[in-house]
Amino acid sequence: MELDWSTFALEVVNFLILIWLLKRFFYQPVLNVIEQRRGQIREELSQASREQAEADQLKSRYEARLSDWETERQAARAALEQELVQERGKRLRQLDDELDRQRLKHAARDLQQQTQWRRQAETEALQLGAAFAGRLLSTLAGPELDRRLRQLFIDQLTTLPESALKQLHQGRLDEAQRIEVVSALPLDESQQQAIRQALEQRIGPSQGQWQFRQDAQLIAGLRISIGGWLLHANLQDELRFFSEAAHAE
Amino acid sequence: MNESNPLGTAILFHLGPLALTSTVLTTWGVMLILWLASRLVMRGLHLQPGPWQTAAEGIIETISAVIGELLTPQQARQVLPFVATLWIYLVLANLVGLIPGLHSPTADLSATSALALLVFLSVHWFGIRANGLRAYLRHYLTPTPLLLPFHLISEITRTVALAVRLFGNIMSLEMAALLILWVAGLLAPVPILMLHIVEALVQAYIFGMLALIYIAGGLQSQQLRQQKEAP
Repeated sequence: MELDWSTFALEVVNFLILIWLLKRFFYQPVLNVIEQRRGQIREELSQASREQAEADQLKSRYEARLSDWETERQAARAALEQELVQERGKRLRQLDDELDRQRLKHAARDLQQQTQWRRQAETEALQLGAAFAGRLLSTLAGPELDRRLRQLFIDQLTTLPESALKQLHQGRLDEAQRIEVVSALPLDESQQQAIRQALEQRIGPSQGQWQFRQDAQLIAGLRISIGGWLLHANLQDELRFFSEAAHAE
Repeated sequence: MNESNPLGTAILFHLGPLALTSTVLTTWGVMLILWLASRLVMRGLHLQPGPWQTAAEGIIETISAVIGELLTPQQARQVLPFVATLWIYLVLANLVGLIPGLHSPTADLSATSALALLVFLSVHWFGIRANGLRAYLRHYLTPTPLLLPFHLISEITRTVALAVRLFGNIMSLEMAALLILWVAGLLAPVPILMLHIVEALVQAYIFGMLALIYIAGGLQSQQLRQQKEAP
């Protein structure tokens, strides 16, 4: 255990050289890499902090925007609901008006239809009544009824107003050559003479041709045509007038 | 290889006035291994490190953390090459003795004395760089000039203690292994060799930590005085 000065000196030099070698080829490169990595980490942390701040800002902005949107949405929804209520009320009123119009129209149509049905029924009833009365009167008709109808005709001639008599007289002049008398039963001479006398008393004497003929369809009574005028007192015409009058009503 | 001392430190040949011993050659071998390892590991440095780069960065980060516990970051960056080289070199130098036919350089008092001398000088070098010569020398007079002899004795004795502690531990381990091998046979020294591994790491740590503490003491003496004088 002695101190060798050569070894001592060489060891000092060796260690100093080793320090230089390791510092040059080991410590500095590694420390530089570590420092670069730390710088990179610091930069990334700084970048991350900036991005975090931006993200927070964006988040707050989007939250504010979402809040605004929610407010706008609620306002739009309220406006829409109000508009829907108004539109619904308007449509309901229109529908009520339309229903009222349709109801009135249907009521008018029903009334018209009922009126038509009633009129048709009345017409049919009158026709049936006329037919029934015609058949009944055909059964009941006879010389007596026929005589009474002729007498009725003669009596009514006396009650004709003056204006009618003038028109008949004018008709007799225009068509003087022909006066037709249609009777339900054949008329004998006296009966024909009675009729001619009654007419000539009221409208004056006639020089024209008198024509008498029988038409059983008259049932009872007679019909006289003077020019364009008809004088009648028979059941067929009465029944027809009755039904037509009722139908006209 | 014509001369040898009783503890196995052989003088291999002379280079002019310098006698090259096995200690020096082994030291050169250790330096070569460290330089090659550094070149190999640092050949492809990347920000995304590989396994070897990770290990190298781990070593330096650990040493920096230990130094950083005692010094400011700026002082730690100045001191790091010296202290880290001490730890790395001593670990390797202490473990070289496990290889049959080789002796640890630290089993030679000349080598440990050289390292102790470098620690002694580095303490003053870093202290003077940090505080200036006058301020640094003034701390020998604090708290009272009466303690100056004790400061000087302390400087010498702790340096001698550094050298002798490391030399004694490593040399005794190698000697014990050699004696057991002579007495008991081939595999008998294995427990002693395992103890050698632990002891080599511990002694390297102690030597480097003491050097760091001494350097930190030299750096912080002026700072403590300034803190006391500050209102």
